[in-house]
Order: sequence, then structure tokens, then C-alpha cells
Amino acid sequence: MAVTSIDQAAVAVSDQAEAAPVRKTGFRRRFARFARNRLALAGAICLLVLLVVAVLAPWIVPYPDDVADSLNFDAVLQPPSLAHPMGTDEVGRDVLTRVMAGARWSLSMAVIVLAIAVTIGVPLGLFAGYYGGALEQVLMRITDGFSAIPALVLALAITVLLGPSLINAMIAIGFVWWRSFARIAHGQTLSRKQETYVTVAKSLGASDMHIMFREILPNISSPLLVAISLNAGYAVLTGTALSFLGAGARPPTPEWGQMVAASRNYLPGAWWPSLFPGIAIFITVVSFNLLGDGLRDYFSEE
Amino acid sequence: MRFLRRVLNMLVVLLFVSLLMFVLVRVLPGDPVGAALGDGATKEQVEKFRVQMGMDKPLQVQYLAYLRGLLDGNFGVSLMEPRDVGTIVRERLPATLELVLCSLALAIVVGVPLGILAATHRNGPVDQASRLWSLTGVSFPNFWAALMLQLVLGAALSLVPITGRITGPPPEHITGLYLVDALLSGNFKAMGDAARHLITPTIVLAVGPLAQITSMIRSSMLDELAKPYVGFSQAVGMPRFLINYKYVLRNAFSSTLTLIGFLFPLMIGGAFVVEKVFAWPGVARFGADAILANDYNAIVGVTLVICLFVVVVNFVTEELYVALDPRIRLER
Repeated sequence: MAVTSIDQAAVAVSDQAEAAPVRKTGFRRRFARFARNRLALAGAICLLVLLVVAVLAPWIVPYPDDVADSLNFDAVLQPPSLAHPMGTDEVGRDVLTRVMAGARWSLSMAVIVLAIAVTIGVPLGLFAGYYGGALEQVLMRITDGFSAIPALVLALAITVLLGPSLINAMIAIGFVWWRSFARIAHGQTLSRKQETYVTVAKSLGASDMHIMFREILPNISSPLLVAISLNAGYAVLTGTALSFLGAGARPPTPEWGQMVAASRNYLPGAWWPSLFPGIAIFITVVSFNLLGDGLRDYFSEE
Repeated sequence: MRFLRRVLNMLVVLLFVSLLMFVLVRVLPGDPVGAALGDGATKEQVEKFRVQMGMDKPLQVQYLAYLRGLLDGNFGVSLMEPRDVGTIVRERLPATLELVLCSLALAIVVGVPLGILAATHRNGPVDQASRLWSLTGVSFPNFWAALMLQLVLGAALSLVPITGRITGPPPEHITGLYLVDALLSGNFKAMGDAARHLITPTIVLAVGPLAQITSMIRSSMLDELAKPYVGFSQAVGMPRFLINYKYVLRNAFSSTLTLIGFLFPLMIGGAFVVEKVFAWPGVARFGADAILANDYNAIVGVTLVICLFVVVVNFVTEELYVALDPRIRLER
């Protein structure tokens, strides 16, 4: 296995060079190790492409007017063709254009949901694990209570009560999702708080806040990163499901779940406006899962 | 003692859920009165309705009254259908249970052997396929998978009905589960009818759990196979299949049990979407409609019943887990 021996050589060389840290080589080496997992690399590349499409959508879509609510009644529900590779929808908009524009909403969904969930969940898990006792009991019972309600059900209820909109759906899902991160942070903190660096920091008189957020948190960041990547896919799935049920994005927003909901009435005759947004969701979620899976392997080797 | 403490824990979780949902539906800005009476209601009508529903009283008084009602089996009146929420839930629960149980059964019956095959033939074609499947199977948006299956199996191939639970008259009511009732009363026409309706929603709901069970069984069996006792048993001449089935599999089943506790709430959540797409007359579709219509009592009632099931399933799987694995019992 040539790859392995080169890699081992690289490890040996960089071990010698440890005294004089060369950041770039370190990153390259790490990236090379991550990239050995072809599936994970494919996931990362897919997400990068999605990100580029999401950012550049207004400039690169084939029919910029079709992103919102333009009406082309002379081109309604045309099957895929050269001019419209994914066909046109029920009011004659180019489906490819809208699928590309939708990348923006699904990626925002993932980012906002996880930002909220991590901000609430990780500190709660850290507190519960670090302080223990009554605080831990109360916090973890609350987490149990939240976990007993299916995520989709609670998120749907909160979204509708806040008023159906895409941003409210993001807030609601984020508010439901913190429990996963509280659990992980709690478990990880429990296993780390006995370690030497914590004892040392304590004996040096570091504050609890310093120990939790400066000593423990950096050390549990790898499992958290894996969880973030794996949860991003589920967050996107839940978000599109809420929009499909009519609680998230509203027409004419080109959100994938909402697009499937709007086009399902034209099944079975016109399958293309329902098929392609669904494939886009699938590819996005698979990419997040591949990346998360690859990261897990990467960190467990470490 | 341990048993009592766990039951008490369950009750605390349920009480918390009831409080959370009760407060959420009343504190967040949704408008139940407007939703119930429509836009044309006068001020007096709105006021009268609020008094009728007890919504003029302070929140804690309302909550205590609600809890007292629950003790009498009174869930409050639904706004969508003016009947007690408990009655509606009882009528609709069997449809959802039938769907979820069939999906769980499908996921286990296919997922467990697939995981075993993958682990025992590591890096073979089955293993590669199962690994790919465990990453992709959890990534389908279920509403879309449902529509696409309806399109292919229902509309294009006409193999199965597209929506609904049964076409002909339902079998005699015994348990409410059509398949079981039809079997018990020997009504095989209704049984076939119900089974044909069940196929597509069951597949859609089972796809994700099937992938998760496969990968769980695979990885826990690989861990187990790597342990020294397996090599030792082989060295003393124990046949491979005996090792696999007598020791390794038993350990793998324990991990599947924990997974079921985790999958159950996910599947109920999935049923909210799947039942909507298949016009399935279950409690999950009622719950989804209730949420979308701001039907307060129905939202709290359905959530509570669902959580009761989730908590009980978790309890049972954990007890079974302990019963199956003597090491855990000894530690206590």
C-alpha cells in the first residue's frame, strides 16, 4: 500500500518538525488524511458547490425573473427540455432556476438551526456535567421532557403558534434541537472533568467559567463538530417537512419543501416540478451525512 | 425501588410535557378564538367564547383545571370537531399504531439480517451496499419519498391504492388494527384490502429506521466479533455459526433494543407527515391538522398521548435491555 507508507513518512517527518510548527504542512497533512475517505470528500465538495450556488444564485441562474413570482402562462408545466432542463412549474417558471435559488434557504436553515441549538444546548450540557447534583438533575429531566416530544411535532407546533414563516420555522427547529447538543455536551463533560488538565486549572485557581469554556469546551469540540454535521442534515429534512406541511416558507419563496407541496397537485401528469426539488434535498442531506461520518472516522483515528 | 423510581420519573416527564405544551399554546401569539370563530366574530361572541373555554382565568388556574379534567379522562373539546379530544384520539389511535408497528416490523425484519450479513461478510458486496444504504436511507425527505412511491407504485403501475386505509367495509371492530381484526374474524377480503393500503406508507416510514438498524447491527456485531472470546471459541473448535448466533447476535440485539427506544419518537414524527400525504385516518394526521388549525385542546391532548407512548416504549425497551444483559443487572 503505497499511500499508507507515504503517509507514514509524512507523519514521521512532521513529528520531527514539531518543534518549529509549520501551519500549512499541518493543514495539508490533515486534509490529506481526511480526503482519503472518498465519500467524505465527495460530501464536502457537494456542500461547497451548494454554498457557491447559494451565494451566487441571483447572478448565475438561467432565468433570474423566475426566482420569485413571475408568471409565464404560455409555458406552464412544460416537461424537461434543452431550454428548461428540469421543466417548468405550474405558473411557467423554470424549475432549475428555482432549485438553484432554493439552496440558499436550505443552507440558511442548517446554519441558523444549529447556531441556536448549539448556543442553548452546549452551555446547558456543560453546566449539568460540570456542577452535577441538583442542577444536573433538573437540567437533564428538562432535556428528557423535550426528548419525549417528537422533534417534528414540537417544531411544527411552535412554528404555527409563532406564525407560519420560514424564519419562525428556523427559530422553532433551533429551539427544539438544543436537546441533542445538551446530551452530548453533558456526557462528554462528565468524562472529561476528572482529567489532569482540569485538576491543574483548578489548583491554579481558574474560575469555573474558565474551566468549562476554555479548558473543557475545546477538548470536546471534535464530537460536537461531528454532531453538528450529522444534525445539519436532519435539520434540513425537518425544515423542508415544515414547509411542505404549509408551516414554513410561503409561496413564492423558492424553498424546496414548499416547491414540492405546490407542485404535488399536478401529479401524476407533471412529475418534474416535484421530483427535482426532492432530489436537491436528498443530495444536501446525504452530503451533510457523508461529511459527518467522515469527520467521525477522522477524529476517532486521532 | 428502582422500578418505582422509574415510574415516578416517567410521570414527572409527562407532567413537564403537559405544562410545556399547555403554556406554549397559550403564551405564543397564535389565536385560537379567531381560528375557531372565524374573522367575522363580534367582540361579545369572542368574550363569551373565552369565558366558555375558561380562558378568562389566570394561567395556573386553567392548568390545574385541565389536570383535574385529565384525571377524569376529560381532554377538553376539540375546535375542529366539537367532541372530546380523548374520544377522537381513542378512535384514531389504532390506525397510527398499525402503521408505525408495521414499519417498525419491516425495519427490523429486513434491517437485522442485512446488518448481520454485512458484518459477517465484511467488505463484501453486501457490506458495501449496506454501508451506502445506511448513509442514503436516512437522507430521503419522507414527504417526497411518499409522493414518488405514490407516483410509481400507485399511479404508473397501479399496484397499490394511492391514499386511504381501506376501500371496502372495514372488518369487525375488535382491536382497531385492521390486519389483526380481519385475521381474527376470518375476513380475508378486508385483510388483503387493508394490507394493500398499508404497503406504501409502511415502506416510506420504514426507510430511515431500516437504515439506522442495519448500521447499528453491523457496527455492534463487528465490535463483538473483535473481542477475544470469539477468537478463543473458534480456536477450541466451536462452529462459526454457533458463535455468531449464540453469543454475538444476542449482544447485537441489546443494542437494537436501545435503538428502538430512540427510533419510536422519530417514527411518530414521521407519521405526522406520512399520514398527511396518504390521507391516513390516524391520530398523527389529526395532530398535524390540529396544530395547523390552532386547535389548543387537541394539540395538548395529542402531544400528551404521543409522549405517553414514547415514555412507555422507552421504559419497556430499557427493562428488556436489563433483562437480556446480566452484566447490567450485576452492576446495580
